[in-house]
Amino acid sequence: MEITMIEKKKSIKMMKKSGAGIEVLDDGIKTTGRIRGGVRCACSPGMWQDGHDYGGCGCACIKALNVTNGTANYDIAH
Amino acid sequence: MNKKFSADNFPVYNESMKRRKIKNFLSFLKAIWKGSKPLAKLFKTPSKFYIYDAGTNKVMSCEPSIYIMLEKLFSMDIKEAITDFLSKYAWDEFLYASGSIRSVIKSQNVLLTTKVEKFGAFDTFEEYESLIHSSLEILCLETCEMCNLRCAYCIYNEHASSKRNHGKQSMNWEVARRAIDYLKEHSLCSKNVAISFYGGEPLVNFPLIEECVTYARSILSDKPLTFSISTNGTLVTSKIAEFFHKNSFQVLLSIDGPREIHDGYRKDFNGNGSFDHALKGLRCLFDAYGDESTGKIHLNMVYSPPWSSQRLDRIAELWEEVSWLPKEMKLHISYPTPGSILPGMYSNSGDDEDKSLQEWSYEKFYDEFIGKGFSNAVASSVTEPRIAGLVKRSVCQEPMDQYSLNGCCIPGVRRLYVTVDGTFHVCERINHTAPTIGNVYSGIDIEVIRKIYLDEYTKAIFPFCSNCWAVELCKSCYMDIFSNGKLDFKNREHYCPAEKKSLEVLLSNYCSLLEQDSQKLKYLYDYEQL
Repeated sequence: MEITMIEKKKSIKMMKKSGAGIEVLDDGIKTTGRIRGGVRCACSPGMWQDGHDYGGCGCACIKALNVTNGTANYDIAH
Repeated sequence: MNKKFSADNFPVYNESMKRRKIKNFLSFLKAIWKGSKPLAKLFKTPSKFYIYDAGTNKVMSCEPSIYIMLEKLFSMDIKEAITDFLSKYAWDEFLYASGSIRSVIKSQNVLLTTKVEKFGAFDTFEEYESLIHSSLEILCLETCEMCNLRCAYCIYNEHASSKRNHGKQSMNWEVARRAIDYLKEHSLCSKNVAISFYGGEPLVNFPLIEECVTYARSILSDKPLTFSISTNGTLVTSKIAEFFHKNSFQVLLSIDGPREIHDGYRKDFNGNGSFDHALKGLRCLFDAYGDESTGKIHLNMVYSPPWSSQRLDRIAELWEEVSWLPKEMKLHISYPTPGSILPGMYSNSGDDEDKSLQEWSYEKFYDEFIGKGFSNAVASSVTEPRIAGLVKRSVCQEPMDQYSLNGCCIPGVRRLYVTVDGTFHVCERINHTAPTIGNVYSGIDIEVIRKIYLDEYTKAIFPFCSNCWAVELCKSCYMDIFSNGKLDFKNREHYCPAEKKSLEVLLSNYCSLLEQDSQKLKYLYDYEQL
């Protein structure tokens, strides 16, 4: 499976100037490449996520497996 | 160029210059959008205007004039939209809005119309197959079909059509052992593995659970192994609670709220409420786990009708009435499955007809967020995972060329549900007529996964999803998409508008929270849903 290098953004800023009257929120997990293997999941409510070292569900569903020099290696969560 | 500038630095344009400016903007949009419109959603909070761009997953705030112009551009012919805008707003507003739109398209790669041709996580089936053979994470065992309760909203009641009826079969050791062997053989690349016990009421077949734990520990000792169980709690004794604690079980126990709410639906064969028995079981668990109960013991609540904010207030009072119940414990609350409530109890049972859970939870969560309310476990359990989904969404710098397969898992990877007779299902929630994906005797049926769950599903969702702004946010999955064993998208006609409306509200709520304190949501990067 291909692993994509992704910069994990750990801050949320409300505004970042871009267009004169349109401002892009500085939030989310910024990706620098194509995400492969990332599967969003409508996770089973109430079922068994805490036992796993993976990302939360009902969400973008990817989480760093490890972090090196400020970048994170992402892999399939579930 | 012969431009004059007014006091507020806007150039003064004569008619000819205006026409040229309009023409340039039109040409720009036509060249960028090529006859189609971007997948984007305009939404508002009480104080600001926003744009969600599906191509990149970016959220942007904008000035009102830009919102209005985009609203027209998305819903009308481009030329007509501009003409309509100019007939109602000043030239300076047009300059400002068109300039901003042009600028953000160029600098942020948003509001583009990149045609998505493909859905799915991978390009080739071999990549899926590799995962299916090596990365199974959770084995979910239906230990028995029996249950000692007859809850009025149970999906296994005879009148509920999406699942099997209450049955009398139990899983035998041979089936369980083969299933655990399958987990061992197909989890070579998994970092962790888990076995969960499901029913019926799984504790009706407790001896099998004990055997499974002993066997799994003996053959799956090379990586972290966890156990979990979903139980109504009424059969939990001190001895069973000690067993769970000793083996680090996560326990999901069903209690719907204070006694009168719980007992309204959760009854035994004779129609007696089960609150006292369930609470006694829960107490046994807390006594056994002691300080280690956090993150191990969770509540499962069903929010049953008649729905109202008063009912939700009353449900949240469980923590006041049961003083030893930790306020920080995680819980999951959901509506009954549509069609599952016993006929005659209530005329409405569809969860999409009631919004009180989402609205009430957000109001409570918001009040706490701005420091005007108190922590509310029920409200947090609804709102936090939804907001976390946006906080943790992947934001791309360029439009994606491939969208994920809705909220679908990869069958046979994240979890595998094994029924009492050893049949493999995608998960315990899927419609019982959905095609099975193998069994403990012959193994996984790769062809069914390829043909139905990937190829046919992908082909079928294309008309629904390829032009939908919510494509990267919606959480629909295989769960309710089968009827009589075949893919059936009829309920999407009902589901999709409701999901999109819900997501629009969610986006608005998320931005309202950010407006109050964007840093305060950072903790949700590490949020893990129960």
